[in-house]
Formats: sequence, C-alpha cells, structure tokens
Amino acid sequence: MDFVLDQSLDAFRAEVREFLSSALPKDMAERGHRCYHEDKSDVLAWMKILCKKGWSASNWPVEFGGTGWGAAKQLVFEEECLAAGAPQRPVVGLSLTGPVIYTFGSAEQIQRHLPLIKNGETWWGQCFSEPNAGSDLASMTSTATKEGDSYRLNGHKIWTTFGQYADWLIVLAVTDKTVKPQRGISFFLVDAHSPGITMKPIYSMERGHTLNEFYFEDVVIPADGLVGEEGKGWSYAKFLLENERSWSAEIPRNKALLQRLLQIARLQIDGAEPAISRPVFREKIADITARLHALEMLTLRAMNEHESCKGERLSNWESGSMLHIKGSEMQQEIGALMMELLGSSGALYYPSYTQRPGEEYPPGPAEAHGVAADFLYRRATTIYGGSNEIQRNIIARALLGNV
Amino acid sequence: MNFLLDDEQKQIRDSVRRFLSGNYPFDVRTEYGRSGEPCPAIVEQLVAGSWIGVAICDELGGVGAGFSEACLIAEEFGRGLVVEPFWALSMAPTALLEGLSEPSAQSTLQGIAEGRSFAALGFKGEPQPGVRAESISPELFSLSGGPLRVYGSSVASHVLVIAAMDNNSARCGLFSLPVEQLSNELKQWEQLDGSRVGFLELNGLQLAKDCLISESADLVERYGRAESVALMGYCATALGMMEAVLSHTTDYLQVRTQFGVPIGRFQSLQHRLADMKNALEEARAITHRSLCFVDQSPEKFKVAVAEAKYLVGKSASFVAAQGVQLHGAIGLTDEFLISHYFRALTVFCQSFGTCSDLLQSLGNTISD
Repeated sequence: MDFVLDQSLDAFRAEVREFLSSALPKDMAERGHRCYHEDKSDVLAWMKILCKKGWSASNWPVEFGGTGWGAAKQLVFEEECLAAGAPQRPVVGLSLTGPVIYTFGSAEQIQRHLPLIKNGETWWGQCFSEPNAGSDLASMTSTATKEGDSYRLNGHKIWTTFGQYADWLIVLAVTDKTVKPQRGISFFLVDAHSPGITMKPIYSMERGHTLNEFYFEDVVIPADGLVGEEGKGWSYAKFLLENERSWSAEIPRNKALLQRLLQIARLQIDGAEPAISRPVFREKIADITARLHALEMLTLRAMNEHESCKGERLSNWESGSMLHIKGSEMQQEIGALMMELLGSSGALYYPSYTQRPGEEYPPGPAEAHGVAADFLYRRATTIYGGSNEIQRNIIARALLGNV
Repeated sequence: MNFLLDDEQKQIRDSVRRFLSGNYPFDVRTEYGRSGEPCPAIVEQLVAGSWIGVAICDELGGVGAGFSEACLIAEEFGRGLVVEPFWALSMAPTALLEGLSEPSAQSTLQGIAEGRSFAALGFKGEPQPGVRAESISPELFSLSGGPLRVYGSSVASHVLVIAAMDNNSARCGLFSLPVEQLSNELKQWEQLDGSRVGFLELNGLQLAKDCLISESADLVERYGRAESVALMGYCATALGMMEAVLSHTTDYLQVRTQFGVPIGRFQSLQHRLADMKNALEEARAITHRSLCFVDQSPEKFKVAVAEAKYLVGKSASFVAAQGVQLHGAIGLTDEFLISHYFRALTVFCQSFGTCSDLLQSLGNTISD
C-alpha cells in the first residue's frame, strides 16, 4: 500500500490533450459536448484519425495492433477524450469482440477481424439479451444447431445498442439443450447481412434510436463463426464482464458530466443569479465531487488489483458490481441536478442534430441542448450491464454465501 | 500508487489484530470505558509492539514506516473498539514533531517512540480560541487561552499546545505541558462511547521555559497538518468500526432465523447489507485518497481530509444505523456490542465538524 500521486501520467495527459486540441474537429467536439447519441459518420471519421495516430485500439495489447497501455493510462486517455467532446469509439468491437477474439479465438479469426475493428472498418453489435432472458440471461432460448460444417441460428435478441450500424454481431446461442444452460451456450461471430436476419429499431424515451431487436430465422453461421469451443460461450461472456469490471463506474463519463454541471451552474439563466452562488447547489456539487473522488480511487484500486492478481481474487469486494452501482447512480444524479439548474428550460424538447437537422432550436441557453435528452437516456445506466438490483444481489451473496 | 499491502504492512496489521482479539475482549473494553482509566495492556502494547512509533523515523527510535501503516493500526483499533485513540496518541504528535529541527522537539518525539512519554494535542475548535504565552520572568512563561480539546488525555503525560508568543500573533511557540501540572486546567469528560476527551483551559498557567520545545517559523502550518493527519487517522479508525459492524451484521443475518429461514435469505435485507458494504468501501476509498495528499500543500491536504471526514461520516452514520436496524431489538441493548459501535461511530460523526459543517466548507472551496 503506497499512496503517492502518480505524476508520471501528467505528461501523458498533456500529450493526449494537445493531440485532441489539434486533431478533434471542432464541430464534432461540439456535438460530443452536448451528449447526443453519436453519429456513425462522426465515429468512423474519428476512428480514422485515431488510427493514424495508433491510438484507436487503446485497450489492446501491442501484438494485436493496440497501444499496450496499462489501465491507468487508458483511463487518462478516455477522460481526456470525453472531456474534449470526442465521440465514443465503437465499444462492442473494441472492448468486447476484440478481447474475446484475441483471448479465445482462432488465428484466422484474429487475422480476419481484428484489423478491421481496429481501423474502424467494421461495426459490431451485441446480441446477448432476449425478450425473456434479461437479468436471467442463462434462460435464453435462441439456438444454434449444428448442421454439417455450419450452424443454423434461430431466435430473437434484443437491446442491441447501435445495431442499426452493425456489420457484424456477437451472438450467444444454445448449442446443447441437454446440459446446464451455463455449459450449453456458445459464442458466435455472425455477419449482420446474412440472409434470415431482420432488425427492428426500438426508440427510447429521449426519442433517440440506439436500441434494436434482431430476429434470426434459419441463419447459417459457417463453422469459423464459432469462437473457441462449443459450450464455452457463457464463460467467455463472463470473462468479458470480468475484464471490464474496473471500468463499470464510467469515471470519464462522470467527470465530463460534472464539468458540464459546473458549466451550467456558472450560467445566468433568465437573468437569475448563477446557481453556483447558492449554498444549496454548492453543497450538492461538493457532495458529488467528494463521491466522485472516492469512486475514482475505487476504480484505480480495482484496476490495480486486477492487474496484480492475474485472475485470482485478491479482496473481498465485488468491484464490478459496486463500481457499477455507484457510477450509474452518479450519472443519473448529475443529470437530475443539471435538470434542476435548468428549471423550465429543462422541460423543453431540444431535437438532436441528427433527428432534425437544420431545425430551429427553442429559446434558452445553448448549454441546455442535449441535457434533457441525456437525462432521459441515462435512466438506462442502472439497468444495462445487469440491473443494480442484480448487482446488489451479487455483493450480498459474496458476503453471505448461500444462506 | 499501490493498493495492495506488502508483507511488512500485512504483518503490522495482523499483529495488531491478533493482539486485540486475544487481549482486549469486549468485557475488558466495557470495563475500562466505564472506569475512565486507561487499559494497561493497551498502553503497554502501544510501546512494546512499536505501534506508537510506527511513523516515527528509526533514528529517533521509531519504526520508520509511514502514515499508511499508521492508518492500518488505527483501523484495527477501530475494529477492536479500543477506547484509547491511536490516531491522537501516535499520528498527531508524530506529524507535528517530525521534521522539527530543535533538539527539544526531537527528544520529545524520541521520548514518545521509546515510551517515556505520551503526548496528545490540544485541538482548537472553530472559531479558534488561541493560546497566548507571555514571558513573565527569565525562567517562566505564563499561558492563557482555550478551551482546547485533548483526545487521548487519559493516557497522555504531556499536552502539546501552540501559542502566540508575547502577544505577537506572527510568532508562535510549541509547548509541551506536563499533565501533572494541569490538575486544575485539564478536565476529562466522558463521551457517548466511553472514551474520554479532555478540556484544557489555561488561565495564566506558569510553566518553566524548557516546556517551550520549538519556535519554528512554520509551526502554524505544521499544527494544521498534524490536525489533518490526526483526522485522517480517525477516519481510518471509523473504517475499522464499520468493518466490524458489517461483519457482525453479516454473521447475524446468517444465524438469526425467523419464519423458518435465516433472515439473510430476504432480499430487502441482502440489499441493505450490500449498501452497507458499498458505503464502507466508498469511505475507504476517500480515506485512501487523503493519504495521497499527506505530502502535498497543507491547504490541499486539508481539503482532501475534509472530504474524507465528510464521506466517512456520511457512510458511518448509515452503516451504524443499518447495523442496529438489521439486528432488530437486540441491537438496541447496552449488553450487545453493536450498540457500542453505534455510539463510537456517532462520536466520530459529531467530532471535528459534522457532515453539514464539512459540506458547507467544501462547498465554499468551489470557485464561482
């Protein structure tokens, strides 16, 4: 245990910041700051710029075209990117598909898919949940039946984020119904343009379109679409969650939200004094700041333990679940506080750039754009990735065992 | 930054934990809490186990570890609900005296490391009533001011006090007041948890000049830092208490049966337990963070510790309350230990600024 502030990262942070200030197009940054959902064209253009710099796969090992950065460095990079308003990179390809392929996939899969993901040339969607298999994911019923050299996929998947952009899908499906669900599920890479796939958009409450459902009817998956071994899909999916657990608090996002909150708090809205001069808001902001500081330390602790443990459990806290609960609640809280600061301006509907390009905006401060949409959208944070109720179950089970 | 304990740190933590669980059972604790007398076994072991000098450099007879290690010991004191405050008797004087160049200050610190004396600080309240020292003869000072709060006063042989010299607020002196000369000035009061806090009020107390142990130019800054270190140690102590509450509550949920099943099978109780664990780890994280600022500027350190005290306090009141709640009526009794943790955590929350006080001052650090 040694708590010396790591100043070696300061130089790296400055380097990233300088790169962003010159490389990130201003209009893209402005869209990013307003927190509307990313445009595919923005994301792809940004990936191209990052790729040229060698930073597009910031979380991958060098041998697969990544940066080889440790977790703390990646965190600095993400913080700076979000603070600058950069679009979020395609997360399913970079954080889920990539690591699963280079950890469990074949040499051919590595060769075929990784460069395309790194270069931003393929967009991946995740097809895990089903209408009747959400928190209870193991109860999924989609099946992939072996037929000769290939599999025949049938089923109905839902909540695929940015599925409308997807070129490829990662799909969990049952390959063996005779064993425990956790042993009978396999992990597939599926071409999203295969015959038999139908996609339907789901609009969420901010009226944005990020979510989708996928119907698979006799979709043929060639044998090389199977990742690793048949029946191991559940453990691969668990590996992904483990791998990502230190990131569950979404520190970069929360920091960017807090900055935005401070910016709004310093505005004069409708001639009223800035919220920051009112003790009630100062105290709320101070409270969130303290908790964000704690959450950042918890994240660094989880990363430190994850990197030192090599797969072993070193401590008795469920870091992923705890970080998820705190980070998701904080995003909602900051959003709610921004809404409070905006008052009746927060009740206005601001169309996003992509929904109604060129349309006139309602009156009120420009900083209000996107706040309500983001506030509405972020009700998802306490549900996605396992609802916070499930996370509390996990934490309690770790303490109580099977009572 | 490294969050994992190395072998030496594990050994320090384990030896304190082992000693307390073997030699300081709940009934002993309760007995000394009632009597107000210091527990001889604890006082002895503070020195024999080299605990008191854990953060004092080895040239002065200490262990030469740091405040991280001291916080580990403080946490174990919290877990064991030790009446004597480690943070006040070890961490506070170490932070104040380390680095002072005067031989008198160094020998005071050495005396602490070697167990010849126990020193406690006089903490100023807010707003700060200062102490003034006046030279009244070539041999004597006269000290007036207070009241100051003295934690660890039942063990201390000396109280360390900072005073403005000869009505010159820019020049300060550090005095080591022998407790034996403070029979009228230092009054002990019992707190809710059985610990004692001393109130020191000086009205022209005459002291020999060798009680002045330092006139370093940065004494005010040092004193502020020492108060922050002490408070950080108190936060670590509260973490240990919360650990104990969580552990006892977890056990209780496993063994207490109602409606034919262990009550830990009820999801509402499971989720409450999870929230207690979350609060505890959040409190630990913000305490860790304050440790990062020990060697930063005193101002930054002070804010980091204020954040820690705020968040540990907020977590502590939640964890303590839920610990009682999940125990049901047995949690209300004086006989069962959970109520003692509740009281000790309440004392923590009330001391050095409540959550509201701290939130207000933290709010004032945000720039317009």
